[in-house]
Amino acid sequence: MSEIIRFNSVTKKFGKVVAVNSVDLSIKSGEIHSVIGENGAGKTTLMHLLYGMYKPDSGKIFVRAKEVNFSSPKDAIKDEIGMVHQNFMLIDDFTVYENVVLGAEPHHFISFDREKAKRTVAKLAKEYKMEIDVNEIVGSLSVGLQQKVEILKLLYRNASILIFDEPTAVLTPQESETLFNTLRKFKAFGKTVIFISHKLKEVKEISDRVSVMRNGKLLDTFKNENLSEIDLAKMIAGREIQNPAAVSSKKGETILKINDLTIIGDKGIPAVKGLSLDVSRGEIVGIAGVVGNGQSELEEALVGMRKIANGKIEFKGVDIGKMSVRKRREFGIGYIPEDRIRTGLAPIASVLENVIMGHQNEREFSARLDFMKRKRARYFANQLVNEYRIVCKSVDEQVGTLSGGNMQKVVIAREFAHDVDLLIVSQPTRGVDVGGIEFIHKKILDMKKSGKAVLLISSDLDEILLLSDRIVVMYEGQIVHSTSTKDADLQKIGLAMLGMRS
Amino acid sequence: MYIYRSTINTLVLILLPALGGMWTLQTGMLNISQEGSMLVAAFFAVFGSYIFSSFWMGLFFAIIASLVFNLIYALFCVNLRANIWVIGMALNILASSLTILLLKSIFGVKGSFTSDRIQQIPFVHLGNLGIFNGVFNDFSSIVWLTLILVILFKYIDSHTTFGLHLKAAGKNWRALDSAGVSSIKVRYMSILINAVLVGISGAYLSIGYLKLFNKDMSAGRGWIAVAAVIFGNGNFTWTIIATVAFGFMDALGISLQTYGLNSNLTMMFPYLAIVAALIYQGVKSSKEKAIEE
Repeated sequence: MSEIIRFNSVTKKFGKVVAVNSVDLSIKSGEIHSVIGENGAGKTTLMHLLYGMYKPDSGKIFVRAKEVNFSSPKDAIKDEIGMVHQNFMLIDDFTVYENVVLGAEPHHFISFDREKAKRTVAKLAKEYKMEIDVNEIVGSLSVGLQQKVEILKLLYRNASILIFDEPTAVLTPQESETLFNTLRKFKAFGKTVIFISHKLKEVKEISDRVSVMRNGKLLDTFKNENLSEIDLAKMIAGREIQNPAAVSSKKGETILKINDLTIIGDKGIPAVKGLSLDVSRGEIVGIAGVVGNGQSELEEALVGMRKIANGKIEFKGVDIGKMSVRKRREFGIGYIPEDRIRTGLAPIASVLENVIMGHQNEREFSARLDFMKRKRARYFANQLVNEYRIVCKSVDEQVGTLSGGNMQKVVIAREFAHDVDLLIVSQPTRGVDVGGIEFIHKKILDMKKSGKAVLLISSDLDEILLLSDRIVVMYEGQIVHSTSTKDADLQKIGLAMLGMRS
Repeated sequence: MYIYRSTINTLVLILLPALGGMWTLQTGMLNISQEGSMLVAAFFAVFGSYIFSSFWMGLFFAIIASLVFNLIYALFCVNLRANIWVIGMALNILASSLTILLLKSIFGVKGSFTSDRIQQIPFVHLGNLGIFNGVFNDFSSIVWLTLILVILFKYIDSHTTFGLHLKAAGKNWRALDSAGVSSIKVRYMSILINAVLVGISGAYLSIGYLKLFNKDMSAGRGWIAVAAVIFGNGNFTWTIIATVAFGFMDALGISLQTYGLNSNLTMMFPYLAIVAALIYQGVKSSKEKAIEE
């Protein structure tokens, strides 16, 4: 196989941060080449350089042995390079075919030839065995289908080099499998695939060769068959990673009883329908499911941010259905919300202010006349920064300027540092790097060991499997599958997530 | 018939900036400096027409002035991502004061300037049409130009890729950029097209039926266009409907003055219509939002 892309000591800086540090990389024509590394390792930036979204500060990029100097994705597209972004670049109000042909529309004199566009896109979808209605409005499609629209966009532009940036982060196991089949089809058609991921299993499954990045540097490129998952993990993190094999602990009394709970969602229709669930001290209950099946509404209702329409929430034997958020927190519920930037933190406030938030009324921080005990708060914040290894210049730094993983650690530190009996933890490691994930997982398990009840909501099935004692699957507001982790059957869980009963 | 003709005459003033504004709104840039652009254009139309004794030069100067004015808006709001309301308001206030200053320093008058050297934009006389004389004859050529532009805009809006790109730029400019179409370019295009239309509208205001520039003579017409654009929310049909309705109320208000109604009262007419329309829209969209979320 011949070389199709070469990076020659490419460097890209953002201010003082070196995102990509003199990277040399060679990609062969017709291979599936994975680039793996922690969040912030520079994978995405490297690909954005290839795709013309940024210009390298130094170094050269060659495509088909010709030096290229892309100033926008347009140039990259001309060279048959296409990229499926982490966040889809789709226009929700447009139809599938409009999205696909956007920027390269077929014309009939000066008009936009819609009929031809529809025909072309439908034909393309058929060729690659993607089942999709080209007249559908994109916003109404599932995430898996939206991704197909993204892929069709590339194929429509004759892309022969396809870059995928964390494509499986939003997919169910079945959808991922479909995607992998599509990728293999690309390879069979002689296209080159660059696959960016931090999921070891997937990289192992799909790649021909694997390049590992860390801190903006490209460590090395390996043939897939010469690698084990553990080797990869070590290289990515730069140290040994221990899997926190679920620690057994004694299950205590039932502390949270949800009975026949119904919650009306924002659309005015029930988002959660007659859901019942118990959580005990010393256990982690994992709620798996595709995003948007009522998990968000459930967590909001449990912490008091959303009204319940019917049913009962009992916590420590008391009906808390009508309690305010503050009362519930004081009563012993901790909450790590799914959206740390909007719900979990005040991004323009400092680390110190954020870790005190919600606890500012406690005696520890509040002096007479509600003056804040500044020194005490500072001491407390510094302690948390050390304990949770939060990387920040000082506790006075704005939280919004920290990396995703460190922001999440701030939320977790705040919620875990206070004495609670129940923790509602939602998407705790979304957008967090491998090292950070490990740390957060360990902390969650520590909580369980110390006898707290944990309700874990995550769209990352691996995370649920790793941590939970019990797993329930939510689909369209109901629990459609329930199992202990010991007896968990991945196939069944996957099908339940898609709403198919086995 | 009188109301019909005066509605058409006022409508043109509002329709031109509403068409242009509709497109800038589609690209995600609500242009609220219409009032100011119109005023500046009106001044320079008089200026050009006076200096060269030619309405063509009047139109030319009006369009250039409007382009310059809108380029300032584009530079701040598109490139530097400034707040559109701050920049828009600043430009509107600037326009009002600037034209007064220029009036004083160039023509040496306060408040108002007129001269026989100013050439008017010609009217179109179609010959004797019998009973249709009142319906079609003796409108300003700008009226017919506007009619052609409305049809052209409708066509471009729904049948060309440029129309698609405008909407794409507003709904998700990153998606458009990544498709290889520069959203900044699309936004600039929409703002410059709007500038030309507002320029024509400004010229029509000062040398269409009159030969005079009055301070603040745009008298809120730019704002009415902005309101129609907001009401239409980028939709061609609704923008036109809103413009016609507001234009009619404006003309009605002026007409009723001649029947002796208090002018302070009738001047409120278009704005009452706007308030009613925007309340209706607000209620509707908040209901839709509740359903969507």
